[in-house]
Amino acid sequence: MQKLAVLSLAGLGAIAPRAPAQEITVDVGAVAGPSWRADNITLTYLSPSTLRLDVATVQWAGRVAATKLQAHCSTRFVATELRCERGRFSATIPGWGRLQGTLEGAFGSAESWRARLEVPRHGLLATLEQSAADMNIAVRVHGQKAEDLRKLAAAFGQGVPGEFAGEVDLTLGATLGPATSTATLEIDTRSLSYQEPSGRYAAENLAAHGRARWDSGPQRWTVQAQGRGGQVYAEPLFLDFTALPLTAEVVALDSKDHWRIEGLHLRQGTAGTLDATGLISKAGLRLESAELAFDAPALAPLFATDVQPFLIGTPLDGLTAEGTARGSVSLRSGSLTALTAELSGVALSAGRLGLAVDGLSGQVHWAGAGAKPSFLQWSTGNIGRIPLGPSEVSFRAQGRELALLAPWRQPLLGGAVHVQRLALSKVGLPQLDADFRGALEPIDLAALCRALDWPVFGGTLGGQLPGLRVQNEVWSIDGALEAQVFDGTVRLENLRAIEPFGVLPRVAADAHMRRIDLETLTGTFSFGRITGRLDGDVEGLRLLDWKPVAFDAGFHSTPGDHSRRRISQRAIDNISAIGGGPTGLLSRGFLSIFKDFSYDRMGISCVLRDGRCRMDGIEPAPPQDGQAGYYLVKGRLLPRIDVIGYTREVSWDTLLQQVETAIASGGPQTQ
Amino acid sequence: MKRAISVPTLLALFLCTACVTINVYFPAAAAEKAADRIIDEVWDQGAPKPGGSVVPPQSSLPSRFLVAALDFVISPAHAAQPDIDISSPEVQRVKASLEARFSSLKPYFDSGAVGLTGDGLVAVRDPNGVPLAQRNAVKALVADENRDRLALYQQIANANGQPQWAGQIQSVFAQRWVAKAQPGWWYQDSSGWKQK
Repeated sequence: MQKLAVLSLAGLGAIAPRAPAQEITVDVGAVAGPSWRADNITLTYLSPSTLRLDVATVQWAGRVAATKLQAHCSTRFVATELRCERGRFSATIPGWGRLQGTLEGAFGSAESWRARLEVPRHGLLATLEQSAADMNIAVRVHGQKAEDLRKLAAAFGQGVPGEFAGEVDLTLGATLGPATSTATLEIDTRSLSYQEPSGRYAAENLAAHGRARWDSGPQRWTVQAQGRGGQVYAEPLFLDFTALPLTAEVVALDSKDHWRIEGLHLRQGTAGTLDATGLISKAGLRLESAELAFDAPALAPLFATDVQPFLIGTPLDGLTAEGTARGSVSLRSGSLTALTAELSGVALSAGRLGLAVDGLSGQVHWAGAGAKPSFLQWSTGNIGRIPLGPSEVSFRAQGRELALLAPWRQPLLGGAVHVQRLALSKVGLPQLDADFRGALEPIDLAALCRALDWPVFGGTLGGQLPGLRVQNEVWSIDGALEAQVFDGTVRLENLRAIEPFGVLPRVAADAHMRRIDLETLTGTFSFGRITGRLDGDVEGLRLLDWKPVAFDAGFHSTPGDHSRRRISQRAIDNISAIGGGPTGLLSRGFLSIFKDFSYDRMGISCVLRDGRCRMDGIEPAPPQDGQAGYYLVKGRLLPRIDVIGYTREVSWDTLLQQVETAIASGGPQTQ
Repeated sequence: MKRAISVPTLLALFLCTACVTINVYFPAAAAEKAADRIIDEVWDQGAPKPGGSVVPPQSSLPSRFLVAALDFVISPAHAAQPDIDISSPEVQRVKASLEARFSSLKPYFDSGAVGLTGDGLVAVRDPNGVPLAQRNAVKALVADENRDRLALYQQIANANGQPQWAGQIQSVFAQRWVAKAQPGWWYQDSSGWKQK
């Protein structure tokens, strides 16, 4: 019917030459195609050969695509179709405003027509062609502001929250058929920025290219994308494409509730690749299941970009990794169900925990159930400042359990930690349980002192550690360590680590010293020669950052010891200086001819709390100036020297400083 | 003439004298003073004073006399010495960690990217105010700061022998952090984010 009307109009024009200008209007009504519909169409013939088309509304896929469409062109007939040449058109597109441009086309019937529209101002070129049942659309937009496109998409119901800045080049090709359709969209951008209101997604100066193809038959998306430059933030991942360009290929099937990822391939620079399949549910964009395989010849940038952001706020925060790794990960309902990793020459460093390992190789398997044995070996490492030697360990990691499959020997400081049995359960929960049996093969104390920045002394430290208990974040080690130092013994019992993975890791122990040879001790530290033997008990010793912050300490001459007890001038001066008393008294006058003096007993005690040391001696001394004193050194024979202290409370830092000064000085000044 | 005291009255008096309560009151005023000292030192405001404990002023003479008279009849409820000790090495260590981190956090407080929450912690308020490359670093700073703050409140409670006070100390600090916040900083109350 419409074809007849158009033909008649055209015919009229042809057979009425040089007639005065006339206008003939035909009301065509509505026209519909397979996926589009136009309402309120009027065709106006203006002599000599201009045809004008007015359409009130054009709908596409059920939505209003254009209103007040007006087109006019010179027409002529060629064969059975009406050609439109040198045409112009204008239309109002929702979300975009009024467009004006040139138009060319040909109309045969509702099932056979084509049109070419160009809007120079927007860099837009569109060709539409309807042949038989298929409609082919090609749209090309160059240099279009991304924000304008977002508004356009929003007007068509595809809203994207947030704000864009920058320009994109878009190419869209589609074939819409009665049963199936395909569409391909290509987007290229050189400098795109985006901010999503909640801050979870953002992009800056993004240079990227993407190509997405939709096949409606199998409901399949095929996407290729490259990020060439700029930065993208998709919480918690931060991707810098300038440093690490990304190539992605995805094939996904779209069903009503899910996207099934048939194949995802990601390549980040030359650092590594990730291949994955999975299922994402559309409600809430939840990852239902996924199988990933990663291959990282250069682990450092990949680990920093893809893994570290997920560790923020956990005890492994700040973990870095270098080397080569390969492996696979399985996820169900968004949580990990299995992990396998093959490591080669990996260096791990957990700054927060003070742990590091180098030259790490092996295979790690973890699964919720039925995990295979794991095996790791490393060449060096350190716990805090204590260096570790090469070692290897085989274990099974399953669910929340970790168990050694064979005894483990870790060499350190000239000796070794020997773990005969270790099985942890409920790892990561407060009710962590440990089954442990181990021993410390004697280590070199001098090396330990150097590692912990303590004053260096020689000897060995070792012992049996038959058990481990964990309660309320206090790890208590059964057994005791014994050291042979200064020809005496030091026994460390009641060893505890308090909140070792928390904010304030502390170490606690009770120390008992017996028969320490003072001559060797004072000789090593250049304190001034004292002979005799010393016993000591330090209960409740608590170390924070490996420095003492609390203890109940008492030292006294070994009872029943009959070795010679002599104390030199310099030692007396130093003890006096530490107590805040006068020095140099003995270097003047008559007593200066005696280089050392005999003593009966000596002793000192200090209770350290909150930075202050409450001091006491062997026994009370007669008060002086109303102040009660205590004997630090009780003399014997003649000349008799007693050192009496009166200060009860001393700042611990001051005390340490005075001891250091005494050791460092070459002796009191003589006048 | 002997005045008879009825049995119920006698019973009541007997029961009263048998009541000996030992209450450990949370010393809110002392806690506020201690919190202010710590906050000043962490945020570098005002001169830090040496020393450890804060003791509230003694009550005046007439009221003490009155209290003593009552004490004679009914055994008093013994209150623990109201005093908040913050000199323990653990508290000092956590405070040092907070002080060291403040110089990194301050620009984000100033820009409004990070704000103070209503429960004594910090949170990222405006992620879009942080350049992309720094967003994860800010998240880590906030996580570390909150871990330290929770440890601070617990260690103050432990130092005073009352680990169960940690929650109340956290509430006191929550209020004092906001009170001492610099103008322009953001804080959270029951109705959302507000700017000082």
